Amino acid sequence: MLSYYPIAVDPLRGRHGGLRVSRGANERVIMHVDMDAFFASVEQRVNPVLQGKPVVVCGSGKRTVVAAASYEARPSGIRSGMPLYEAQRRCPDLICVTADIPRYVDASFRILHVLQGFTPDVEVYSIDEAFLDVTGSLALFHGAERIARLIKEKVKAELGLTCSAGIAPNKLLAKLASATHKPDGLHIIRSEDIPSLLEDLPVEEMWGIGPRLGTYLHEMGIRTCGQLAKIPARILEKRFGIMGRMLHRMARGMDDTPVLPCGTGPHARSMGHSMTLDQDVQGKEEIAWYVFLLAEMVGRRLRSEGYAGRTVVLTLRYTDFQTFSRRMTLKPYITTGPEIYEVAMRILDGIRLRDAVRLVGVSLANLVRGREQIPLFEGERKRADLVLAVDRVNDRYGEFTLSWGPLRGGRKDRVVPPNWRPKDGDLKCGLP
Amino acid sequence: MHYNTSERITVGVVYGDEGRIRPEWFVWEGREHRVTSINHIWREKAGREALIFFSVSDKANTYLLCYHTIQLRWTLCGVDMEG
Repeated sequence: MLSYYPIAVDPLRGRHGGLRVSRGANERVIMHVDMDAFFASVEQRVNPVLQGKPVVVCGSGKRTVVAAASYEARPSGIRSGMPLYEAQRRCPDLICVTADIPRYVDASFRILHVLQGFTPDVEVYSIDEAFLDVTGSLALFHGAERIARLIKEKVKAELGLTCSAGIAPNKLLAKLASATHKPDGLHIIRSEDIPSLLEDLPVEEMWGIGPRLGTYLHEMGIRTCGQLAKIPARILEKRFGIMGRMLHRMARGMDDTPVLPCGTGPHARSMGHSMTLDQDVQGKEEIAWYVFLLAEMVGRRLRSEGYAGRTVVLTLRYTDFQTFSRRMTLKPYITTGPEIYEVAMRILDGIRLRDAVRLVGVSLANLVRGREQIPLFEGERKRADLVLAVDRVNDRYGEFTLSWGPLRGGRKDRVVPPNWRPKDGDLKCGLP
Repeated sequence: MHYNTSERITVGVVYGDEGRIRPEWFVWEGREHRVTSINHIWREKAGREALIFFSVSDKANTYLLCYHTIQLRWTLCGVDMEG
């Protein structure tokens, strides 16, 4: 059911006859579209037997966590990120479906295609969320609310999925608005409503204030955005550095960050993968296998997007969930799995493990585009040619069709990194 | 109950005027199954080849059909039986 604030009629555009959000001359109109329980909803479409039942989408490992929970599962307290065993304890009838990433990626592209029918200014924030700057499309579609309704109708008609939309003068508030009435909601925050809305809003509900920062603020006696807004900026800056200035603005509902359409966003600063192991691992030899697999996944992604990097970061998590990272920076830029692996192993060799390890992560930072080292010597040239040939085979026949000997039988399942964005070539893909 | 399989099957398809394809029936285990609803469609890449998956239902069950766009063949990938 749709629910929304009453909105004002803009007399200047009254001839179109539609209701619209009234706004100042320079005010932007930003929309945030957030799919409802995205992965779980796609699975309920794929298999209608799952509709109306408590469903979670999770990984294939033994110690996986919930990636998405259907709305039927949520009354039991099941949330994303919860260990699967805990979710099953809370809801014995829970149906667990292993994530099928290509299904979600395809649905995401089709949603993006719908959104781009209303404005070219669409920023893909994650696989199931996007920001739209609809300021320039208001006259064409008779107002922001109508755009949101059309988007919701079209997504429902083409994919059978529901989404929630939030409309506000900036991204910060649009994100807040979309979360206000979920699922299948539509909520508008007008400029004049901002002070009263934020006055009693708990600080944790503001986008960008996580549990840790929320705890710090609570320790300072700050629980609402209204209270935060009353703290002078210099005090927040002294306590939180640059973040303090941002907090001061956020508490007033201020945000100038632009909507960055696909392909215009800033370059990636790092790329990485991590995995929770099926069972805790004690020895470095066993950890090395996972490091190699992750290094190869990172290298493949780097090369496919034209990046090279020179800081390798190894992340480990002990069984008691203590997590730490160590990094090493090189002079040359590197791109291949074996190169990343070699450095990650040098880092691992320098660590004295105090306990068994449950999670391993490998990433490459200090990234640049188009700065791959040109091989000078015969051996280096042969290795570069080999990597190129392997990439070509895998491009043609699929990931890990050809890989390094030690990775034989390695995982082929894909993951969605948090910074997932469509690549330029991907945007051309469409359904028959 | 769900089970995965990978069986070549014969499929009757309508090629729509917008370039869309729609499976109408398929033969599996010697019996013709008429598609009563297409639940979801998605595309995957397997290397260079695009695979188009159709989750379809007949009167009893839900089936996962896959069209291989280079090899021009159909496979049945999975069956979900109620109960």
